[in-house]
Parts: sequence; structure tokens; C-alpha cells
Amino acid sequence: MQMLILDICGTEDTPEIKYNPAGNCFTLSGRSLPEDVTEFYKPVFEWLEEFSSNVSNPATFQFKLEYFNTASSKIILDILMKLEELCSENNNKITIEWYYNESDDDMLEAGEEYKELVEVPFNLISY
Amino acid sequence: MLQTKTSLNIYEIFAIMADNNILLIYQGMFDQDMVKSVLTMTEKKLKQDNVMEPTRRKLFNIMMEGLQNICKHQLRTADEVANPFFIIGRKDQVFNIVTGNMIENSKISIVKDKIDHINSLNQEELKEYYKTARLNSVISNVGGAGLGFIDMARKSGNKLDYKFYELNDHYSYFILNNTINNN
Repeated sequence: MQMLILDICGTEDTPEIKYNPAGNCFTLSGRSLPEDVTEFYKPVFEWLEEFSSNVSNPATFQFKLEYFNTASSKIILDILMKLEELCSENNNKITIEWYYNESDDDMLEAGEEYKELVEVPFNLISY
Repeated sequence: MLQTKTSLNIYEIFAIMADNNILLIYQGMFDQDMVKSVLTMTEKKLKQDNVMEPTRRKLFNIMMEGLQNICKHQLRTADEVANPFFIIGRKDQVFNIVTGNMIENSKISIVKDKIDHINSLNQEELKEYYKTARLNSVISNVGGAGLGFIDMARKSGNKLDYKFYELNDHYSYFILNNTINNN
């Protein structure tokens, strides 16, 4: 089955979102402050649906955000919960990597808070 | 504040801005393009002024929430006096991000109660409150998560300062002032 392509270019207010089938790696990076988060993230949830029905293991989900607004923070939580579901359902091997600038305490804290909330292997990585 | 029928000339306005260390001021209707422009301009200005990155990040976050709040909640009006505004100012090591927008009188108590509750919490309690609120939040039809004020208070570490000025029986002007320490 052909995996749905996910390749969204970043802008000054929306993140770059890509899935690399070779490395089985999803990456969400940059700034997330779209005007309409629901609309913007719709393709991501559609892709996740597709991915769920055809997971190849192991998979990595990377988050490398510079800024995100509170509405995006809710959406990211929804994505992480979806990943938690995937992990518990079929013993899928999913790892989350949360990147933060070493001088960005708020981004580290945001990662720690997500880590506490979802039961998925979750690495906090500074750069 | 609302007595805008003044005869200030451009030079006087400039002098007021300089005296009050106003970095940027904008009044008018807000949309996403405006938000992006204001954020970009302010980011550049703060870099020029050699403001350190951690402070710049906090300012960016609080501006982003404040500006998008206005985008989502501003009331359309033909009355120029009641247009929303945004100001970022600096006095020594303290930054202020001030926003103003018109609000229906019937909604004042909701906003007031929300901010008063946030102001009654310490940082640890705010963190818990944010976590619970985010779990329970549903993205509204205007695209908000209802978390903006909590996030502002967490990022600044200071209380949210606010005022409502009654315009008439139906509307008031809501002013929100965020204080951010440069450290």
C-alpha cells in the first residue's frame, strides 16, 4: 500500500511537517502559530490515520519547535495521544524526540509536561 | 486613554513614545498578516537592542498570544476610537506588552473571573492549571484553546494587570498589561 505523503513546507507562522519513509521518521519543526490550527493540522491527522492502519516499526516522531501558540499546544497533545494509542494497541515501537534549545527553559518544560502525560518512550534532546 | 480627540502633532507623539520608551505601537484592525508583521518587526527591534534570547523568546510568546487573542475576539466597529491596539514598551529592565480591545459588557465578568483566578495562583499552581485546562480544552470556532491568559502568566512569571473602561451600555474597552522582566 502506498503510504500517504506528508510534506508541508514551513512558513513564518506554520511549521514544516515531513515524513521520511526511508528513516520511518516524522518531523515537525519551526513555528506553529497558524490562524486556524484545526484546518492547518487536518492533513497531519489524516496522515496519522493512514499511518495507524499500516505502521512500520520502529518509528520516530521528532518535534523541533521554536515557537508554538496555545492552540497548537492543544493540537500537539492530540498528536501525542494518538501516538500513545498506537503504542498500546499493537505494541508498536514508537519513540518521540522532543528537541529544545539549551537556553530555552520553557521549551524544555513544555517537553517535560508532554512526557508526563503520554505513555510513549519520550526523549528530551537539547541542541 | 480614550480621549483621542487631541491635537497632538507628529513631533509630540514621537516625544511621548521616546519618553515612555515605546518600541512599537499599532492601532487598527488585526488579522494574521498584521500579527506576523508586528512579530517580525518587534523581533528585529529587540535584536538590534541586544536583548538576550531568553527574554526575546518570552516576549515573542506573550505578544503572539496577545495579538492572536485580539484577532479572535475583536469586535468589528466603524468607530476608530474603539479599534484594538498593541504597544510594546521598555523601561530599564522591564518590558510591557499592552493590548486593548473592545468587549461586550456582558462578557466582562467571564474575562475578569478568569484573570483573577490566574492571578491568585503561584507558578506551580499555574502549571497544574494549564495542564488540566489543556486536557479539557476544545478548539473553539474562532480557533482558540482558551489557554492564552494562563500561558502569558506562566511565561512572564508576573500577574496580569487589566482594566475595563466602560464606553456605553453595551461595550467596554479591555486593556491587558503584561510585565516581563529582562533577566
